[in-house]
Amino acid sequence: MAERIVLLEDDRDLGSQIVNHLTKAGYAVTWRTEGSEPVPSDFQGVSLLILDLMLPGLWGLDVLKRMRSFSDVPVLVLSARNNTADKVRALKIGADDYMTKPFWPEELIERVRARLRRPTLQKGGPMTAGGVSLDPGARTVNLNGVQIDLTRVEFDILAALMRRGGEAVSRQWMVFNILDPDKEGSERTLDVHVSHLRRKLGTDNPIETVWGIGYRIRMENQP
Amino acid sequence: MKLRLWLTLTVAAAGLVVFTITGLFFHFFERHSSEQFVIQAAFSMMNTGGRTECESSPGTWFVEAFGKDKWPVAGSVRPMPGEPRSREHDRPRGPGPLGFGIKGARLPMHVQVFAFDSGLNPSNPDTPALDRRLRAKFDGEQTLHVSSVGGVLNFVNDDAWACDGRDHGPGCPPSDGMKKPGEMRIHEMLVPMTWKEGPCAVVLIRWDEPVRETGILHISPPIAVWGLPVAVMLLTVLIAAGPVVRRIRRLTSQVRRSAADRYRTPIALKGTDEIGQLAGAFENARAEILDQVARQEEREQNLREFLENTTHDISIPLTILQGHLSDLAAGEGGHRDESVASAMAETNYLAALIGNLSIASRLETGTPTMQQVPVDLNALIGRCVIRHRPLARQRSVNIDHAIPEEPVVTTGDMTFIEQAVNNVTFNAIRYNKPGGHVAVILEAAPDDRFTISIIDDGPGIPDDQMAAITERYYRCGKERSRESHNQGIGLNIAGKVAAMHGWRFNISRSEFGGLRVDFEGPA
Repeated sequence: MAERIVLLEDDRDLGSQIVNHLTKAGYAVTWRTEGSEPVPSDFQGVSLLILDLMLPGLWGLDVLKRMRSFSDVPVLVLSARNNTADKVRALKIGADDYMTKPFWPEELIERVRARLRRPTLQKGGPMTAGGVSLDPGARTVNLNGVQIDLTRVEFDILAALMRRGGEAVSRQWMVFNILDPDKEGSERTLDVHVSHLRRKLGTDNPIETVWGIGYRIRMENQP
Repeated sequence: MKLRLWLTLTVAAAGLVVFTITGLFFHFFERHSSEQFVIQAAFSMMNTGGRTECESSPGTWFVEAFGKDKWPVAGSVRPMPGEPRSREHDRPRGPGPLGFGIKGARLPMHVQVFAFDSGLNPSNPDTPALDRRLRAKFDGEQTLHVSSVGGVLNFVNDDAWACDGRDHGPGCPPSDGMKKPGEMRIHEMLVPMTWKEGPCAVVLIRWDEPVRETGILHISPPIAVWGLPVAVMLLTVLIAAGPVVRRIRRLTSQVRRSAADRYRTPIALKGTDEIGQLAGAFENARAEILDQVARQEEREQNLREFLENTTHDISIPLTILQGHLSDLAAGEGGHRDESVASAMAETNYLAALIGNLSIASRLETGTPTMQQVPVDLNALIGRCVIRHRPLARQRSVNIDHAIPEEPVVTTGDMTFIEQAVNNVTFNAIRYNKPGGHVAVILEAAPDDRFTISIIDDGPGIPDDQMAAITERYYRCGKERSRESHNQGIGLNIAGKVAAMHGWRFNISRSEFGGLRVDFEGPA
């Protein structure tokens, strides 16, 4: 079932554009224009409120304040004002995120997605990516159901990458946090370890090199 | 109040105080010296035959004198010839008992002397009744002096005067009718003699004088005493005030003239006195104002240039955008994708420019008001990359980022910081080639410092322009190109933001040939 989003936006063109893009991204959007008093029933089953601060007749922050008295639905604030005092005020009143105009629709969709993303990985539990599954507690790695032997460094590299679930991890971070600084503290050493790890995980290994940064695990649901 | 008037009034007030004090002193001194004179005269008279006469005929002895300049030596009845006197200003004046010779101790005009024995019993039946106060206090040693208002001193024996009751005649005393009882004061002084025995052991001296009023004018000292010093003081003050007043007037007119031409004329009054120092203070204030005005004008000039350049900068992409949109509207299908891509690029440029103009206007005001709030750099980098992903996709540039697992939080102004990172990221994408790469990396060092690095493999900046690229963009001259100058303003703002947060900001050549920009600060 599509997640429900309420949009409070007074500009007709901007509002219809946002609704259009959010709908295409798979969300069910309720669009309200006039800055009327929000009531609790407006937010039943709603996952996110997108609030434009420049509502006529009703200062957006007042809407936010009143709405916060009965609901803790996440709020993404849109504003043309790009200064810290405004942002801090909005966050203090209860906004969860703050976005300044102008923006591309894709940026809005990404921010909404980031806001709604649920943590899928249980910290400390077993993790899988492609045919690889890793159990941090038992320190074992299976490739297509068959346990494979990894060195300590190789295991730690793979665990760090899988823990981040598709996000890039910098070489420097891994050098600092995984390699033994006394013996082998260089990025070149790290690359050697990664190449060994890749060989052990086979030709279809999920480890990607990220330009200028380091490595990441390719996740199935990543574009 | 004018200075001169104020000084004059002050001196006058001081003069009044001096006048009153000397007046009181004179009043006291005069009374005292009159008393002493009477006592001495009584002793003198008794010692030069008065005692003998008194003791030889105590039943009739008394002295009555009425005169101008001297007392009788001795005698029972001693008329004093002289002009009739009516008022005290003609009273005889004699040298005072004090050595410095102040004149003016008033001498009695009409005097009576009677004798008593040591028990205060008179032998002469004509002796008037002794004042109760004198009798009560007399101890045989102290001279006593009392006075009372009302009544006049009557002549003991009018017949003794060879005037037969005539008034005002030469050599005659004035009639009593001339004296009004209410205006007269009768003095009675009881003087014990040194011999302390016989019927003339104590002498009573009686005299009268007009009642003197006690107001300030009536106790006034002689004008010679106070007039000259006060006059000299007044004159001195007026003369001394002259140059002071003139200098102040000159200073006033100089300050006014300087203010009239927007403080360009210096204040030339010199001197080490307070007025000179005041002039110096004015001169310093003038310099400060000039400095402020100059800075204000410079800011205004900058703002004007800024606006002109901005108008120019915005009008070009808008014109291009309009061109593309009208192409699209006319349905010139052949270049459709190209037009859309170009139009999008122009709007990106416009958005970045507008963001920077808002920040730059705040940075240009001298000391921007910087908020100090905790800034989650992980989230900030995430937002920055999300924001630029559409642009990167349009330009076929790969953008990736890496952040540490634990959030890195620094303190600063999140808007300025985000704009700084956005600017560098925007430049890295915009000036890259299709298929190029951009990486935004946040690293936390173990010593609680963070580094934000933005790396690209674009063409970079030629070494000879590396230093100049962060110059203020509108100072680059008219021939500056749109392409390079927005990079300039972006980096310029990034550098300024880093500086105001006390961070290290470094631009170098990246290992991939493009640009590498690092921000480094405390986490």
